[in-house]
Formats: sequence, C-alpha cells, structure tokens
Amino acid sequence: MSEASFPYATVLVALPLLAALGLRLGLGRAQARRWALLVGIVLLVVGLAAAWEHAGRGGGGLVLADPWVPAAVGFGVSGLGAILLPFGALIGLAALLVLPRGRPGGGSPGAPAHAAPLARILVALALTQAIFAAQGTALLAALWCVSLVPPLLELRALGPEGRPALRIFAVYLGLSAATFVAGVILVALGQVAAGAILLGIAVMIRKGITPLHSWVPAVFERAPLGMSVLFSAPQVGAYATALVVFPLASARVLQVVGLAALLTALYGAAMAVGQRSARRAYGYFFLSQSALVMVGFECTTPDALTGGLCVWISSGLALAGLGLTIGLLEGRRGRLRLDQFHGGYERMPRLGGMFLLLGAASVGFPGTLGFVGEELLAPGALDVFPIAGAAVAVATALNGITVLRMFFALFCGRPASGGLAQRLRPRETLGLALLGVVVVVFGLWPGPLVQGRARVAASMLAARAEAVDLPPGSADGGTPGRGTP
Amino acid sequence: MIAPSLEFLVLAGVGLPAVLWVGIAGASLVDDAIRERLIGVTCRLVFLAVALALVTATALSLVFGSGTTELIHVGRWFGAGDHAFELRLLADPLSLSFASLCAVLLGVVAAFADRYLHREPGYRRFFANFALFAVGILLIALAGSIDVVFAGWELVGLASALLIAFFHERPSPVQSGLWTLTVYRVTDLGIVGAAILAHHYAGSGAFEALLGPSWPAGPSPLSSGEATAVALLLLFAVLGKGAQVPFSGWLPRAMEGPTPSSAIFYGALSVHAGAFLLLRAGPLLDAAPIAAAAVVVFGLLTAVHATAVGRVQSDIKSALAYASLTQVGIILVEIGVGLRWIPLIHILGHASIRALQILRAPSLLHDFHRLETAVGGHLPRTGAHLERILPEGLRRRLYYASLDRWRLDGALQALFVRPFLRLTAALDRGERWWGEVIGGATIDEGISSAGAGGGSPGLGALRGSPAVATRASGVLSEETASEVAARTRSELSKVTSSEVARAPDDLSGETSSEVAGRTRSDLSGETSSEVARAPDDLSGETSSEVAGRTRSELSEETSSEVAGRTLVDLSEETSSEVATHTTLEPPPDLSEETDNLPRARPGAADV
Repeated sequence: MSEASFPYATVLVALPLLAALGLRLGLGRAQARRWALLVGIVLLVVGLAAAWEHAGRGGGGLVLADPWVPAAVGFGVSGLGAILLPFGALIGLAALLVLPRGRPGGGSPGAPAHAAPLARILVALALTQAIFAAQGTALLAALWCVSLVPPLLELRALGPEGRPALRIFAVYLGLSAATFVAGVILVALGQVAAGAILLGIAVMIRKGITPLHSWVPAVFERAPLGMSVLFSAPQVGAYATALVVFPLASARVLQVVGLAALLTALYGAAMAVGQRSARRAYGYFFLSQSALVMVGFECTTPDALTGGLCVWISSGLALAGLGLTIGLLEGRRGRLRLDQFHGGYERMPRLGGMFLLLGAASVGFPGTLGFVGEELLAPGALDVFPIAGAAVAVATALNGITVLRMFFALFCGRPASGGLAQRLRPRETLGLALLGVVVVVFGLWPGPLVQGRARVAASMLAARAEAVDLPPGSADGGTPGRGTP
Repeated sequence: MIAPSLEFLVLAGVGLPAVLWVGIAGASLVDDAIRERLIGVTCRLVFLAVALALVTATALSLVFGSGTTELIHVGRWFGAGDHAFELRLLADPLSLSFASLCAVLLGVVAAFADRYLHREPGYRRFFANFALFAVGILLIALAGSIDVVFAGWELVGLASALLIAFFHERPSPVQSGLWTLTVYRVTDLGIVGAAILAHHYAGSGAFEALLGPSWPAGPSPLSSGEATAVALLLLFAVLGKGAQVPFSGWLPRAMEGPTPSSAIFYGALSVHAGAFLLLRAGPLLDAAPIAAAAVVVFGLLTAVHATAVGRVQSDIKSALAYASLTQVGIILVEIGVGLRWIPLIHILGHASIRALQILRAPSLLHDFHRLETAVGGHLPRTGAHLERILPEGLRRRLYYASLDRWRLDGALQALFVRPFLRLTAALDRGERWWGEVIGGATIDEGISSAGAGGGSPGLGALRGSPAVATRASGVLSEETASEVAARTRSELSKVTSSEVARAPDDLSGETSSEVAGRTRSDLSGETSSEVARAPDDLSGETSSEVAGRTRSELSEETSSEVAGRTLVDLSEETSSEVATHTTLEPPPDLSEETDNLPRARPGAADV
C-alpha cells in the first residue's frame, strides 16, 4: 500500500549531499562545523516528522511514496524505514557533535574542523538515509555499492597507517557488493533460490557475521571512529535482510544466517573479553551485540522478530554512543589499551557516566531499550530454536563483563594528568546525552516503539507468508517464493 | 479495603529510590559540583520515607489483612506476540517482611555513610550506586514475577560491582569489582534460564503461575521435572549472588569497598537475596526433591567451608564475611529441608545483627584496645570449642587449606578463566594472521593468553588468591626489587603538600596516633613467616584495621625484611597514604600502649 506525501526521503538525502557539496566547494568553510550541525539537526527533525506522519496514517506496511521520484524507482518511507530515518539521523547528528575533528584519525578536541572529513560524514549520512528509504532491490543494490565510497576515502586519507584496514575493507565489502548485485540480478532473472543465497552472503559480510566478519575489528582498529560508527551502527545490512532476504530466502537459508549470527554473538563476546586494545575490543563487542538483530530474523515468530527489530534500534544507538565515547577518550589520551589503568574518572565523570550508561544499554541492562529488545528476543528465539535463547544469554553475559572491564581500564586507576582539559565540552555532552536519553526514555516507556515494531514484524511475516504460502506468524519451513519485497 | 493503601505504600517504597537515582545521576550530568550536603539530606529523607512506607505496609498487611497476599499489577511494561513483560509486585508476609528489612537497613546505612564518607571525592558516586542498589534489592523483595526479579537482580549486580570498586584509584578494588561482576554475570545465566523456562512451561513469569496461589503453601502447577529444571537454574543463580561454594571467593574481595557498602553486601542484604529467592521458590522446591537436596548440599558445603576459613582470618571484616556465609549456608539448609518461616526469621535476625557488626567493625578495634589496656593483657579467646572436636591431623590440614580459602577462586581461574583466555588468544592469533594475509600488516594488540598482569584490569589478573594478595605480589611479578624501590622513591617525591593535608580523610577514620604507629621505625622485628603471610592478611583491611596490627605483632621483623615489605605495600598505596607513612612520626607516648594491642582473633566474630 502506497500513499503520496511530503517528499521526506528526498529532503533527507538531498540536504546533506548539498551541504557536503557546499563544503567541498569552499562555501562556509570557516563555519563548517556549524553548517554540518545545522544540517544534522534538520535531518533529525525531518526524520521525526516522517515517522510521525507514517504512524499517524496507520503505520505497518504503508509506504509514503516520494512524489519527486518516479514510483518505479521505489523510494519513500516504509513502515520499516519510518523509525530508521530519525534513527540514522540521530546517530549522524551525535557523530557530528562529538567527532568533527581536525583531521581523520586524530586531532585534539579543540582543533579547527576541516571541511573534507565533515563532508565525507555528511555524504555517508545521506547514503544511509537513502538506503533506509529504498524500497526496490535495484536501487538498494546501487546504494549498497555507493555507500562504500565514503569509508574508503576516509581510510585512504589516513595514508600508510590506514592501508591494511583499507585493503581488508575493500576485499570484504567489495565482495559483499559483488554478491549483492549478483543476487539481485539472479532474482530478477527468476533464480530466486540462488539469488537469495547470494543476497544472504552479501548481508552476512556487511553485518560482519562469522566467518565473514574479519573486516569489522580490523576497520575499527584503524579507521576514524566517527566514520566507522556512522557506517556500521545503523546496520544497513539488517535493512537489506528485512527488505530482500527475509521475504525471499528459504527457511534453510534463514536458519543458516541465524545460526551464523548466534555463533557471531558468542564468538564476538568471547573475543572481546580479553582484548588489549580498546578499539579491537569494541569491534568484537559491536559484532556480538549487533548480530543479535539477525537472530530475530531467523526465528520468524512475531515476538522474536519484534525483539530483533528493537535490538536493532537499541544496539545501534548504544553502540554508536559507546564508540563515540572511546573516540572522545582517544582524542584526549591517544590510543587506549585495556591491559593498564588509565584513571581520571573524577576528572571526567560525565564521560565515565555516559560510557557506563551506553555500555549498559548495549548489553540490555534493565531500564534501557536494550533490555526490552533482548527480553523479547530471547524467549521468542527459545520457542523456535532452544539453544538460541541460551546463546543470547551467554553472549550478553560476556558482553556485560567486557563493558565493565573497559570502563575500569579506561576510567579507573591513578588520576590521569590533564585537569580541566579532559572534561567534556558542552556539544560533546549533548551528542552523547542525545543517544543516552533516547535509550533510557524508550527503555522506560517502550510501548509506542514496541507496538510500531510489532506492526512492522507482522507485515514482514505476512509478506513472507504470502511469498511461501504459509499462515502468518508461523515458524515456517517452506520453500522460497517469488514475492516482491 | 487496605489494598489501595498497600499499593500506594509499596509503589512509594520502590519508586522513591528510583527517583533518587535519576535525580543524582541527572544532576551529575548537568552540574559536576552538586553539593554534598544536599545529597546527604535528600538521601536520608528518601530512605526514611521508604522505610516508613514499607514498615507501615507490613503493619497494615499483618494487622488488617491477616497476612494475605495482595497482587499489585502496575501495568504492562511492554510486549509483543505471546510474550509480555508485566510489572507485578507482590505484598505478602514474605515480601513485605524482607522489603521492610531492606528499607530499614538501607536507611541506617545511608545515614552512616553520610558521615562516614564525608568529604570523600566519590561521595556522590557512592549514593548514586547506593540508590541503584536500593531499587534492585527492593524489586527483588517485592517482585511478583520472575521477570521483575531478573530486573532487580541485574541492578543489584552492577551496583555491587561499582561499589566494590569504589576506591577506584587502586587496582585491587577494581579487580575485585570485576571478578565479582564476572561471577554475577555467569551465575545470572541461571536466573535468565529460569525465567525463559518459566515462560516456556507456565506461559508466564508470574509467581502464581509458577509457584501457586499463595506462599508458602503453593502448590506449584509445574510438573516435577519442570520444577526441578527451574529450581536448579535458580539455585545456580543463588550460588553466585549468595556467595555459596564454589563462588564464595567474591565475598571477601567485596571488602575492598567502603564499610557502608560492605555492610549491605556481605552483612545484610546482598548475600541474603539468594536465600530469599529460594525461599520464595519454596513451592518449586517442594515439587522438586532433587533440587531441594542440592540446596541442602550446597548450603552444608558453604557452612563448613565458611566456618573453617572464617576461623583463620586475621582481620575483622574477613571474619565477619565468612561468619555471614556460614549463616547463609545454614539458611539454605533450612530452606532445602522444607522449613519456610524459620529461615525467614533467620534471615531477618542475621541480616540485622551482621549489619550492625560490620558498621561497628572500624571502631571495634578501639574498644578492644581500651579493654585490653584496662585488663592488662589479651582478652580470652572464644569460639574454639568446635575446633577441639577435630583430630589433630585433620585440624592441621584444614588450617592450611583454610589459610588459602580452599583455593576456590584459584580453581575457578584454573578450570574456566585461563582455558577460556587461552582459547580466545589462539583464535585471536588466527584472526591476526588472516588480517596480515589480507591487509598485509601486523595487528599488534591481541589477547594475552595469560590474562593481564596482577595490577591490570583483566580477568586473568586474579591469581586464585585474595585480591589484596595481588596488591603486594602481583605488582612485583615483573619488577625487580631495585625497580620497585626506584619507583616508590619517585612516587614519594611527587607527594604534594595538599595531598599530605588530605591524608587524614583518606584513611577512613584512622587517628593520627594510629597512623603514627604504622611507620617504618615501628616495624623493626617482624618475622619472615609473618611477612610472607602479610598479603593474605591484608585482604580487605581498612587502614584503621591495619593500624591495629602494630608493634607488638611486628616485633621480630628484621630491618631488611621490613624495607622489602614496606616498599611492596607502598607501591600500590595512594600518594596520600604514602605521604602519611613518610611524613608522620610516632608520638613518644605511644610506645607503651602499642605493646598491648590485640592480635587477630580468629573466630571471634563467627556465628
């Protein structure tokens, strides 16, 4: 079902692209950060308006088609994308607030903002929004490929230091793009089963699902955290899974993806616990928690799928915030190791508090949105696959240990030198607080979000049931269908 | 007709600490310099109100409701499909009595902590964590479903770890906090599993669906097999939170926290939370004899372990911790054999007396000091009647095993932590190799298979001995004595006059004369065996307790041994403490008094 509306999607994509172009052309270079922040705020407001209007018109499977784009392209605000647009905008705004640093990969907190990194972040943000607004497989495939460009440029800008990560990123994500395009072509040619398998492989690479995950810790290890967070935290791989793989793939393919996601959750959690580099630990931690989203897709029950969709939002926001706090700390202290104490909690209690809050939200601590998602996901997963519930619980238990270990290593110990310069600036506080407040408010009052996600889950299940000719809500075992995503 | 009043009072009891936590945390975000006085007064008022509300609710229930069960359905928090999280609280004799105990003790400890932590840099942080702990423990007490218990369980776990690591500038409390959280997170899997199975079997996490309509009669609607599975998972969770064998090791480590939080953890509430949960799950145990037998076995094991280990502890907080464990073990035995009201009364009485003892612990040494000075010798030793029953050989073996606390933490480290770290280190090497193949460069920071060193924040940092042992020995593991000496000298040289001025506050109540007793000149005769024992003995002692071990104990140490030990001890102390060691001289009139100070009294605090 499609209805005409205000061209939200076009605005959400065009605005940051125009701002990035303006920055690259030298317009407003002296005020680059302010312009970027203004664009980020507008994007958040427009995204919220889109979600509001979508919910007001009934939500669910409704698509608010963009009047400025031909209908054949498939571009607009869907039930799945309605909440993801402000979600992506929020992560982008937080990244702009927290990490508009002087040069990629480093720079002091007070360094002047350069236009180039800000422009790349704005382009990445525009492409993320475009993906969340894409409704057609061809457009999604094109955006899937183009969205790799900003991180590649960011890594290239690092010079020799970033070359290993650049190679790993190019190999893995290039393979992901190739398999995605091949999968879309095969599906278009009627080879749905083979196409769905290729699409499944593509999203597994993009989501960092074991054994195709190695690019995630490597990139987090080397790349600037702002871009890394913006590229990874919105989890566009999950969007492609929901839009393309979930309706098309056979139960067997979904099970393989789900089992691999469970393995990833456990593997990432285990690998994160003992890491000595804060960035690498965060990379594995990210892998583990974000993989839980895919577990929900595998279960094909309403509660588990709703849980997976909620974990998507909660883990995206909380993990983005956690990554940004590590970036802020690095801006003050250089590379962070976890086998020594860095101290300084008393000098930066806000940053320490935000780290704890966002870390706790990442692992589903009560009172945060993560708790809601995992509470829905674990029992729902158990109903379909008994070991899934246990694996989710073990992974989150290990991740809880990782969060506290990181907190203790990064903030405890003898006081660090630096005094007042280590305190958070107001805009940095605002960036982290935005993410923290959202995960807490939706954690304490999750009703509207959960209901919205439940409607989306129901429409996804209905679409899949239609495609494979099964009753809605059942845990299926059917064969792949030819339904249009 | 008391239901509305009861509902209001119970909700106020749970809600006020939550509001307090939000207030402190929110204010901290806005203003770093929130006034201590404001926090102190607010906390006192809030916990007074909580205690009044819950005690009144208990009285109302007992007097007008004849102890019947009132279900308070706050509402549906969230839900999708077949699964919903219902906020259900329960007001029955069990929950109200334990909640009242919690509220009263929280109020007492809050008032105590307000003075005890006066001008402490982490004052606000303490009360934020304390409020979080209060929310968690009250949720556990008043929970009407296993889902609510789980939420409270998690809050208590995080707050406990943060409070243990309160003095976070020293590695030892931080390692202890991390170890405690590790034990909690692993054993919390039990309660997660129990909650999931409860939903699976009963279709709901509500206690009436799981445990029957009323407590303690039940009966549980679950079959024997289902009840056994759920009860065994709950028991696993209780072993962690209740510090039962084999997870007892975290409890003495929890002494690293400030005394008020210690009183809450191993004196009063935290260690009893597990016993309370088992008591609540009584109808399940009635339907699951295997699980009930397991409860008895673990309770007995813990009681024997704790009473043996407690008798060789030489510091008062360790002795009190193990005395608490002994009693909790006995409470578990009572629950396992089918008693319901006696364990409840046991919990209430034991928690109260133990909290009082622990809050008094820092000043108790002063009392002994005065008493023995007045008597002119050591007070008679008590509590040895059980030891005399055992044969000499067994007693000796038990003694040596108990000195090492039966190596329980060491066994957990050797069996689980280190193999796990070795496995992940091997996997990490594979990851790095693959990264080099693809990326063409070395990723140089992976997992250390041995875990981190003794003074670092890693799971492998604990060596199976009490945390404070690593404080002395772990730091030295990679340093020569000369390096330590050089480091200590350099640390001493950085002490500023302001830090020296702050020293009395940092020493948690220690008087200047006691501090003076702890100088190098007084340590002139410690024997080598005592020196070797020193790290274990120091586990969890506060500075004031250390002060109690003065010249009379250390009268035979050689000067070189003293120099070595002092350097080791000083290497992990804060600069302010170091400053105290080096700048204060003993007053001349102390020399006679210190000869009469007490030795450690193994078992004095037991039972």
